[in-house]
Amino acid sequence: MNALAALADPTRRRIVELLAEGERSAGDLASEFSGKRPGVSRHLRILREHGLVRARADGRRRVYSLDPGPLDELDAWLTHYRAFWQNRLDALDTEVKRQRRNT
Amino acid sequence: MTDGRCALRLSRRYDAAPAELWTALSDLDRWLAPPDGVTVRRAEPERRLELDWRPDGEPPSEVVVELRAEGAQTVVVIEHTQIEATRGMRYIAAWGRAMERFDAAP
Repeated sequence: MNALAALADPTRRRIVELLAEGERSAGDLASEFSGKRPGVSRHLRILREHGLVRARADGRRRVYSLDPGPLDELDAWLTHYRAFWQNRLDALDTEVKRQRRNT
Repeated sequence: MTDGRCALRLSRRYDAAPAELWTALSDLDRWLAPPDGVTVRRAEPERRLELDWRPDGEPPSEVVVELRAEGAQTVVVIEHTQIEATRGMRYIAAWGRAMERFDAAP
């Protein structure tokens, strides 16, 4: 699962939306999901593992906030494939010319 | 990036008819050298080629190559779309906007 696939889960999307309004503690986030307290810490762990949120200690609490890292990941994907396809379109031109010479 | 889709689009004009270009295009190993995990999903001669793009360790994506005749030339349009991004980008975009608001707040 990559960072973007991690957002396919509705609970994790809701957590991200809540954190978009500002940082929150784990307990505060859990109170938004009645009866799903254990689930929230699991979702927070998954979000953190994928670099979507980060945590800091505030006394005994853990406070979560968003991490814009995945945007960099997408940017890297776009940059990589732009160069890749430019190169392959050049190769296609070479191939058309080679084919023409051989006929 | 629009409508929650993340796609890369490139085009190029070639000095060749679609039939000629299609012959070259069909021989994927010669020009594309596709990485393992790339397969042809659909081929419509002289018009359109669709590839499933799923190399190891990469988010799945799809590639559509379209050919369009323009006089004696052919325009090739390549669109590479990151599938997972199509679901995720909407939320990332929304959260980016929310963060800008947060930053802008006095």
